[in-house]
Amino acid sequence: MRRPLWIFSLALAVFWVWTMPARAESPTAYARGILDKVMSLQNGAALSSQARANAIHGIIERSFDFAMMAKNSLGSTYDSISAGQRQDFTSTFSYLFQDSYTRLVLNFLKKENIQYGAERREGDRAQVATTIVRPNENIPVTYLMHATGQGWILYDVIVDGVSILHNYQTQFGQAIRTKSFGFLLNKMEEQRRALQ
Amino acid sequence: MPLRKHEKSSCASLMRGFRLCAWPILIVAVVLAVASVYYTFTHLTVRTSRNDLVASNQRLIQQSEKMDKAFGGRDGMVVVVENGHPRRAIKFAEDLATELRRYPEHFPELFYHINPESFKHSALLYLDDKDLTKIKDSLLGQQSLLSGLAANPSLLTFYQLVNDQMARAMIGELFTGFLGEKEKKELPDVSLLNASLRGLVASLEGKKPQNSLFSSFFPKELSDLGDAGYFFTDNDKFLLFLVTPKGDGYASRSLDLALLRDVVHRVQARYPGLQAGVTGPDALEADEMHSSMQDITLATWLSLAGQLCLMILFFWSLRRTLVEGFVLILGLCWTFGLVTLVVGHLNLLSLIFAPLMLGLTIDYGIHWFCRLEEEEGAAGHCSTEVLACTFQRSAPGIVYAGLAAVVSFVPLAFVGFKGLAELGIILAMGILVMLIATLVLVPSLVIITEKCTPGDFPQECPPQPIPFLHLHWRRPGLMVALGVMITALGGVALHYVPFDLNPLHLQNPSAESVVWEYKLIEDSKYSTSYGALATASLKELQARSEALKKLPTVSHVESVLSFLPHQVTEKRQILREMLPVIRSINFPGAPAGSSDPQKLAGILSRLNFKMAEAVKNLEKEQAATKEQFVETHRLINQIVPRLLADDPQLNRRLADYGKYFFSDLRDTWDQFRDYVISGLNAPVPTLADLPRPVRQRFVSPDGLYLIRVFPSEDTWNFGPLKRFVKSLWSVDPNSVGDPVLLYNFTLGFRNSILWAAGMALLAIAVMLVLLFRSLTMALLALIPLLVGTGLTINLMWLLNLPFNQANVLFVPLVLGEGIEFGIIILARWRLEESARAITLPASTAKGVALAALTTTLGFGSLMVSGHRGTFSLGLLATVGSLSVLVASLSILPAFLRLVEKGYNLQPSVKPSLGLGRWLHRMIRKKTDEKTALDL
Repeated sequence: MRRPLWIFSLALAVFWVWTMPARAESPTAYARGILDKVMSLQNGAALSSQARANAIHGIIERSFDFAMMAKNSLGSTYDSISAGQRQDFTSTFSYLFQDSYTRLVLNFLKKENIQYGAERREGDRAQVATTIVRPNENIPVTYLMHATGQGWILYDVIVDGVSILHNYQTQFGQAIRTKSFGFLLNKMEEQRRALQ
Repeated sequence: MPLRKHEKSSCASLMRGFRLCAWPILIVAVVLAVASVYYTFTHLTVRTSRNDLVASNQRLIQQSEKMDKAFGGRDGMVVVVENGHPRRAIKFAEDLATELRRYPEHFPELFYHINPESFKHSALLYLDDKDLTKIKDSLLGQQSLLSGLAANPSLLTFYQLVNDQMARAMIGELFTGFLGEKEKKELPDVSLLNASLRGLVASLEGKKPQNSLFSSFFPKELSDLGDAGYFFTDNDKFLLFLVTPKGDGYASRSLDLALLRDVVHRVQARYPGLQAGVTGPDALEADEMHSSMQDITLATWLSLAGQLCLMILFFWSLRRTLVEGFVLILGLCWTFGLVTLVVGHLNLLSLIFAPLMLGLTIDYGIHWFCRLEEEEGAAGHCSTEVLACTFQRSAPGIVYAGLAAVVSFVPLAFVGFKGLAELGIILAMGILVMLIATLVLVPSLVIITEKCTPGDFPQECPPQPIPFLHLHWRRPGLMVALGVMITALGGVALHYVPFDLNPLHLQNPSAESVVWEYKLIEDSKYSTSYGALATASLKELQARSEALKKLPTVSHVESVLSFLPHQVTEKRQILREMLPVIRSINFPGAPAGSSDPQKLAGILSRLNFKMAEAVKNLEKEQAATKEQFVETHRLINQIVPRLLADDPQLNRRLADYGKYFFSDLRDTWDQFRDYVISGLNAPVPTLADLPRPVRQRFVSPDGLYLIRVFPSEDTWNFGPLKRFVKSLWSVDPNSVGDPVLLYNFTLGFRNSILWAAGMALLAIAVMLVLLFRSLTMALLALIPLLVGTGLTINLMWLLNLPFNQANVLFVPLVLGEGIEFGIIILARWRLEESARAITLPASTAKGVALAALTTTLGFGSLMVSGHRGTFSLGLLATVGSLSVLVASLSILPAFLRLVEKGYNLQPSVKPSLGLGRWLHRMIRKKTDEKTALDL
């Protein structure tokens, strides 16, 4: 009788310790941390444009869950492709997303006034609403994230009501329906080669 | 050379004859001149059409006349209105029409508008299929926006939907743009957004929006059919108003043109800032003629006055100058009479014969008077003996020079180019008339005015020559070498002197018709000049039109088919694809409710953010789109603060704008739906539905169909003209029209002149050989011509003067002049040993110099003309005359000096230069009548 109780307590303690980082930093703080780092890089005069882009690229690389995004972007097709294809797809998707998002950040985020709105949590998922505010201009950006052992990680960004992940799902779905998965993967690899 | 007895007696008889008959000769001459002038005024006409320059029996002219007869030869004058604003230009056109209708006797037909009412139900079928497909794609692409707006009609919904669309496009392009098939990303067209924002700005300022917001959704042809039916050029830069003048012939057309311009200016005064002018084939012709006639009249008087002043200077005698002037005027009057009798009219070319002829024929009197001065030298006064010697010694050279001048123009009479042939005949006749006038009238007038005393005829005429400028020609070889070099260089330079065949370059550049023709060509690639062909059936019309449209030299074609929709089946299919969307969406006339200003400001701010970023990232080539985005950004920056301001009028103004917005949207949508449904169901317009002015212009009473073919290049330049005409002929060898006639005219004119010049040179060379009975002498006589022409061409090359259709007339002119000086100098050199001893007597040189200078003045007076062709002829002929003069007084004497040393002083065969022998033959008695004349 004592032994199962002891094991159960140990498991609970491990779990508690494991989830501590996630419970320690709020989603808003996490999002703010990323944005603050990005804006500090954007406004750092000492950096060359290439160094800036590389640094931002690095932040993005660490901040998004590409495996989850890649799987979600393909929808049900993900289950029907081979392991090798999944790997290729995830790798290429990750590269292309990082490139596109880096460009988005470089173009849109400068010396911005960011207002942080409401934070919503549902289980291990959270949403942080922000608004970039300029005179006579604003744009809402919502960050969607989920909890991992190391903390929060992003899996989607909704820019002015348009979900990036949803965009992928729609466009990839249309490409697969009208052509094939092979066509989609080829196009993505072609784009990757063009960017490298 | 001593006078032979018979020659002496013939001259003596002649002088006695002149002494006795001087006054009767003068009276007869004056009466003849008066009669000639009267006859000319009452019978001579002026033909101003370029068609009159080409032989009327030519197939092309006949075809052209047939076409004019079949289709009416309309729309000769075009009023061009520069379109600053379409409505203003249209209003101007309507006002102009109202004013011009007050002069039906001058302008029986005006063609500037076709009422679009009868075509409205098929409006969409008139669009280009590409434009129709674009509308369909746009409609289907915007289906979700239109449905969303119809479901929830409010301003806020509209901007939200636009914003959503833009956000999706932005994210899609950034993250998955590589999946798209198009290489170049398509930027959204924000013209509708901007139109709505402009309207919103106006409303918030308390003003009413001016234009329909949704018109930009449709192609311009459809956006407002109120503007349709007027003749705008393809790029909308100009509005064309076609006028058919009543007058036929230069005088009445000129009156019509002057009146039209007067009316245009009067109407223009009511529209400050609006530019308009008159051009078109009739206007171009009338302007050219008017300018030419004004200038030629002035040039003729200037020429006469200038030449007479020069003569006063050289002869130091007003009396002799007036005598020569009087002879010229009488000769000119006789010539006009003869021209009226033989030819009956003047054309565009022969209009300039008077100053040309004066310039050439004044020389005969000059040579005569110069010789008279020399003969008078020893005697100290005029007498019949002096006159006889003058006559005997100068007449041969003058006659042969005159005949050579006639020969230089006679070949023109045989060219197929009617305009040149008539000019050749006129000049040839004129020179003969002037020759007779000079040889008959000058001695008579000298006898009358100088009271020459009678006396015994000397045994021989005493030689009195002094050398020209006391030159002894010690180094003739140098001058000869120089002459050869100049001629050789001239031959080389000929390859580098271009021939400008563009007839517009000849015109007065400040003439209104020329200015506006250039504007049309340069700004809108439209010319009032077009090719024309006719077909016998609609099927053939269609086939030919399709073939013509494929030609790269063709910009567009006009026929009855232009007024009928084509590819109806294919276009109806496109309309059918739009029908489900059209039918499923209905807009209310007013919004469902008012829009909250704060929310509206919020959504516009989001739009603004994207616009601001888009502007920064657009590439240079996307300047037009960038401009649109900049405007969007600017407009939203004006609107948002107003929406957030505490303004009591705000909600009302916003509500008013919402009503305007949806009312406009519903009206435009309903109208578009009507167009789609009527395009599908209404009967397609046919020929019978076309307005009468259209049918008259494009369908002949015999059932022929006209196709007007407009060039894609500037066919006033020869290269594009040739390509255009050849490509027209590849479709229909019977094509006519202004470009075709111009092509034939240009080639025919140039080739005719060059052929005639070649024949003239040959004929003159033969004549010289027969005259001098020596090839060497014939060649010597050609030296002033050859060296002078070489020098002229060198100068043309240096001064960058091209040949053109006007100044190429210089070629036959310089032939006559060059030969004249050579003959005058050589005749004396051959006839008189005293002349050979000094090479070039001063009186001969004086005559040649004065003749050249008067010719220079005669041609140079043409330089007063604003007509660039006439100016260039004057300039080139001036340069040519002076060049020939220099060659005559420097190079020819040098050659003579070289030749003289080997010249056989007793030639075995005498040249047929003896005037006495001729006169003797002409006036000798019959064999049974012996007189003192008989040897």
